[in-house]
Amino acid sequence: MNEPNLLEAELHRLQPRRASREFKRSTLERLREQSVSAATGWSTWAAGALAAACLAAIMLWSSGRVGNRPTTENGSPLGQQIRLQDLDPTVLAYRHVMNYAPQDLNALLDRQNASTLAPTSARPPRAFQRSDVERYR
Amino acid sequence: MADGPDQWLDQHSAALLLFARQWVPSHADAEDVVQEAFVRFWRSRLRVAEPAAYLYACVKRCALEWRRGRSRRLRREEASARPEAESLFVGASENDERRLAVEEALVTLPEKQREVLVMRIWGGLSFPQISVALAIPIETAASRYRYALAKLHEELAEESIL
Repeated sequence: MNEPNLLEAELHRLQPRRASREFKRSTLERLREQSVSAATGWSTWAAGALAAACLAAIMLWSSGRVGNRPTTENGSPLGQQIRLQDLDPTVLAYRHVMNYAPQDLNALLDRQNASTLAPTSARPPRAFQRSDVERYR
Repeated sequence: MADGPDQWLDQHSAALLLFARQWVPSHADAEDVVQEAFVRFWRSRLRVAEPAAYLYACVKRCALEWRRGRSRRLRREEASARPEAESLFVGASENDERRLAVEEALVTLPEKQREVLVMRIWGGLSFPQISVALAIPIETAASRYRYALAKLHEELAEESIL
């Protein structure tokens, strides 16, 4: 196996062609450009992330304020404090109950039934009611 | 151990250019390939266990991409326009004949043997490093190297007889 060893030694003595000066200069230049663009990209990314974090914090803070707002016993915000007993069975009342106190829906329906099915003797007999007149005018 | 890009280039560029010449026709093309590979390598060199092996792997990948990117027509034009192949090695003029014989013998080697030989002889990589660079077992790298030497020896012996 001496011959391959001699051949190895001979091959080792051969010098591959070297790179040109331009090759090394332009390669180092590209590396510099790459590091600059990477740094720029990093700072842009960091600024974007900071802005997003601030926005998220503001949104969380404002939603937290809304969430912590004192509410009435049926869950409606204090600014819209309405007692069920005060409500007439109007569309607004149904909307309020559906939004804030769905458990009171049955009570509201009962109240509407009570008001519409009230004994006619309690109301003065009229051939036409004002509301009907208004409706068909 | 080389740390900066200057040192890496000084230490490896000649062998890398020779390595790239297996797939690209000219020294200038090899410089383009090695430059692209080196830029990619430098970006992610800290994430690999064997940076030198990874550098060779990058060069091979870039060379193959470069070759795929060229149309066959263009390659034919280049081959016909090139009067003679550029030499792979530099050396004293008195050794030119032998050097050319080695170059010709090297070109006749199968690609898989030649790449191992180049990495081992001129790149100075160990068989474990070569196995990492080419994603082959260490024994395969070693056997390809032995086959390459044997074939080179055979080719050069025939040359000297003629």
